[in-house]
Amino acid sequence: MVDITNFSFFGSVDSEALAEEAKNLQEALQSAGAAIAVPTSPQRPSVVDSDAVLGKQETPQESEGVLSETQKATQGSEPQTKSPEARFLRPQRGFEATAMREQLSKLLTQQRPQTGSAEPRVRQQADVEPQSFSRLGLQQQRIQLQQPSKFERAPKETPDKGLASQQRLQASGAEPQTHQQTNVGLQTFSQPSLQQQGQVQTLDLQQQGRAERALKETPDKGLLMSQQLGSRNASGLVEKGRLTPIDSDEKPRGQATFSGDKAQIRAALQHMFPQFSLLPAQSQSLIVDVYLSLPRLPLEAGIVLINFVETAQLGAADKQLFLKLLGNLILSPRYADPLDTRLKELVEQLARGVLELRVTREGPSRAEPATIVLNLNDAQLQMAINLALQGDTQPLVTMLLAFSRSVSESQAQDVLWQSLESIPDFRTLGEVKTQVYRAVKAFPETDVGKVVEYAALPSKSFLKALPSDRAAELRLLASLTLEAKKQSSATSFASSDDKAGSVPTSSSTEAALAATVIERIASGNIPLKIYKAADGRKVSSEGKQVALNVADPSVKRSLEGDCKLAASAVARFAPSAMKYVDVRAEKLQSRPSFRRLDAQTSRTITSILDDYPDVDPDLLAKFAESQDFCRGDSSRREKAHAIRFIASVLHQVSSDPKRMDMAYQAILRLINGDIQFTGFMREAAGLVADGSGIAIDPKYLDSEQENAVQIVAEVTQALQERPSTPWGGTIAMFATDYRAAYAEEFFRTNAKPCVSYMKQVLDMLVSSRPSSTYAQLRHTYATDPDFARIVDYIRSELDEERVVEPEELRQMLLEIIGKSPNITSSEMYEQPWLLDVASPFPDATAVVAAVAAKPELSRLNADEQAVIVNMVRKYGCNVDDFCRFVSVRPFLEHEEKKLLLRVFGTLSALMKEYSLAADIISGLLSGRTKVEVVQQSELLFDGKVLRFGREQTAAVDDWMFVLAEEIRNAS
Amino acid sequence: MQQIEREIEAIRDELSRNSGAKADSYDILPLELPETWPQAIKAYHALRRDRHGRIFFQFIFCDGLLYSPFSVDGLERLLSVCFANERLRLTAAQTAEVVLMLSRPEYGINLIESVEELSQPNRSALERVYGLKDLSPQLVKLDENDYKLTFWTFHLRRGTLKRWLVYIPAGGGRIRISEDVAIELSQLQQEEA
Repeated sequence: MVDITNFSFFGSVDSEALAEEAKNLQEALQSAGAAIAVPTSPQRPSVVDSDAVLGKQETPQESEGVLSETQKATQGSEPQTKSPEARFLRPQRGFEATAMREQLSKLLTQQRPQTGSAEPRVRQQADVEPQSFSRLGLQQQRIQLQQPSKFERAPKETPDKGLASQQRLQASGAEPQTHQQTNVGLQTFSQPSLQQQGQVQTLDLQQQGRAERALKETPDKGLLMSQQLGSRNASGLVEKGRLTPIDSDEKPRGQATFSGDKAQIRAALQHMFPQFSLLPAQSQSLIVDVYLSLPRLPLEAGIVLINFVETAQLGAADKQLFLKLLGNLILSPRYADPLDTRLKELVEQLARGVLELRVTREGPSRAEPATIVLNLNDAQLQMAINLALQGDTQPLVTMLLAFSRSVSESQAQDVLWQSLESIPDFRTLGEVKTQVYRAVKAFPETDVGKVVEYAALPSKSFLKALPSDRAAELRLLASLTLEAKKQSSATSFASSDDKAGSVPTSSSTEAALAATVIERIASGNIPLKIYKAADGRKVSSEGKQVALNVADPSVKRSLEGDCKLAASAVARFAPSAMKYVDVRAEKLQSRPSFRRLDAQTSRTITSILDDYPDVDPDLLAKFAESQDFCRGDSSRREKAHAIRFIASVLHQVSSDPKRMDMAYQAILRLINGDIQFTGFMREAAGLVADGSGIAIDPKYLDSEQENAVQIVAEVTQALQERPSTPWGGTIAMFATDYRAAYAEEFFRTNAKPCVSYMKQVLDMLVSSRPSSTYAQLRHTYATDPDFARIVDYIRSELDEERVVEPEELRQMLLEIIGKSPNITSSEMYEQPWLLDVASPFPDATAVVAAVAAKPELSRLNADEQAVIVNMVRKYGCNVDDFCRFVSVRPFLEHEEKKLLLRVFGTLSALMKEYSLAADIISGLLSGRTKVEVVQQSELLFDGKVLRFGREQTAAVDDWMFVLAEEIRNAS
Repeated sequence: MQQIEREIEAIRDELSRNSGAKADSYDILPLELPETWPQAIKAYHALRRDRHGRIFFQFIFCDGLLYSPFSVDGLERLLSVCFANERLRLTAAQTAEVVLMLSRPEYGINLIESVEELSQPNRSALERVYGLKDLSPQLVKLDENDYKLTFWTFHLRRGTLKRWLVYIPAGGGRIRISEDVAIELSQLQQEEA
């Protein structure tokens, strides 16, 4: 059997080579007559659980595999027990074989990109389920081709018999084409040679044989091994510890074997969805039962059932009923309707817990803001459910869709929902809204603002969490906040009663601890982690975070209920996480840059450095003490998020010097206060920089690469648009966005933007669509001939395969100031837009890297730094000399620092050639030589004072030659 | 001309009531709609000068009535009117424009009507990886009262392509808008490179 353990769909494989290899293999297999049966998953086992059958079913005879018949025919009189496994070994029937062929040809002909990253580029909103656009879908189809492979052999066969069985199959020639194609498909992904394939098969069978023998000897051990075999490909399936026995609820342990339809379905689900293994045995059985009762249910639908079984807060019987209903709904034609996707979306929302399904036996069925309530005693609903279970889902679908429609109306009428809607952060939450609503509704006295803020400024783990885990985290936070609030009010009440309350009571200590814990959690210093793993833990403290394992039933029950148990466990484990952070924070406090910071900020930075270890702590400390950052009335979490943003950008570019330069330069300006940090944006999503400074959009914290791109472009923009900059007119918008798009692409690709990209930029900037963000530019284009001329020129240049650079655009804009009413002043265009100076590009990269790496130079402002960059770039000055020079008293006390840097740089460049220059530099660095700017035009140096004329330094290049001449004369 | 001034004045009032900034800090420009749009519909673009135009709102007048992005049900009312009246019938693309204008989208996004509007590398990456060739807006009548609108937008500077899904209950009720797919084209191209 081909081992697909190491197969990665996103792995860097050459698809053409694979296609070629697949073709060769196919030919080789055909010539060798090798046909190894690999059943497909759409064909469910034919044994039907009579108790579970409620819909239309294939009869056992109908679904009996062709291969079983073939086996009988081939083996003649040899007694043959028709086991479920044997049925599972059948080849594909007509339509399946065709589908397989189509699938295979699709896989072979579709030239997939060769990427090394495992990151899916399609982001389905908070969903991991494969969709038509997702390549995961294809991946799963492929896995589906292979999934029964671990259990398909006859269970009682020895390894040799297994091989013999295969040989029999080959000899039978049962639909060799189908098998070959399937095998080629497998072969394509794992890329072994034909010979290697054989070896893998043998090993696999031997391994299986060993497992079976072990099973007979030690049932428990065997059971575990069977799981391991079955789940071998599901990487990360089990982190630690023992797995739940798969057949524990069905068979005596001693008789557990590989056989059984349930076991096969279970194995297939485990194989495809690692999270299946982490469900409680009872939930696993519920899902398996659905598959047994609905043999046509595709395996891909398993994720919907798994999500539902995890999120639905229903009793076991109701859960079983609705799982079957979901299965029936998934099989309904309406679900697969490509145009009307309402049912599919509703089912997914119910499964993910975006909408909760609640069952009652009284009152009307209705829609609530985050819930659909169904009364099972309602005769109409009962009839719809019965019909759905028999395969006619239309009435139920109609009812559910009507409820789904009413949800938004119910939200509009709900007081709590409306009060939440009045919080700007809540409005940006998307589908997390319903989870926040439920958490707040469950704990009405909690601090609503904190819960909303927690979701609006999410941690990385919160963003990546499953919807059910996210909901649990929010409930826990709401509960913790409420508890802290209660304890605090109880303590204050007690202390007001007890006038002599100078000695802290145990209740006041507890209250203080609870307040500290919630403060640390809310600010993000101690992140909560909700996870599932069979590691035997309930709650644990791992480094700075407190982790709750929802695979443990008691934890899950608590989080779904009043959260008291979970909250007290967090309170118990939080101190060790706090200690972890505090110890590290204390170490950081010894750094000079941290001495001015308060303890809370130090802890925040410590916690952040744990996630982004490649960042210079001093830089973060500097940002944290910057005036803009301290001045804001932002919450602690918001501030922590801002530092995290800076850290994430610096961390991700730390290994790439070029990007590091640009990001560092940009962030330095923010840190130095050259650009105001205006905090986090609320409603104007996507807006990062404007005339008043830079704001950060928390929604984009998940895209660190894009954050870096943004910050470079926006800082460049903000440098042009200082708070005092007046509105430059609509043309200014065009110019700045043109420049920003150019700069961002430059940063992303490390190359100048190509013509097709800039064409796309230009088309969108002057789009004729009324909904366009830049709709006013079209208006300006239509009404302002000067602006139209510039746009047309840029377009004509693009047609000639040339990109107009931002500086060229600036020059053109300067020409029309005063002529066009849409460009009001030249203020925004006074500084050059040569991006390699303000935000250096490759030609200056090495220099900027050297300059940027020097902390001494970070004290200088942008213009002074630019002088150093230019001097080093153009004249090869020594950066270290500059570092020493900017720390000496004559420089620190001098008013005209920029001028002084220029002189010093020139002397540094001449130092190798002239000893006098070296002497002057030596005097300057030691502090012996003073500097004076005078009106004379020549250089004067009497051994103690360096005097030079202001005019001489007007232009860098001229000054260089003049000074060289002066030194030559003096020497 | 007088009508335009009256309409601009009405928008200014709406802005001063809802935007939290002085109405005179906005530039309000009438937008020239293509001829294919119903004559009775007019659009305006208001951008805030003191935020360098980065904050903007769009307003629609239909038969002289103002439909504002600040109104809770402005979009619903306008679409109900348009679906009920043959004279105001909108195409899928126009409906998408109206949805974007009145649902206050983020800065920098543009409606995509055809895949041709994307650059060649983006187009080929989309087709190769996702098999996407058609990005045109689609308006489908689901049943008597319900329409479904699907369209794509492209964020110019982030390089993000998003698919929007809008359920429009033409007979009244709340519109449901969601972004169900997002493709990072910039990342896609980078990985390919």
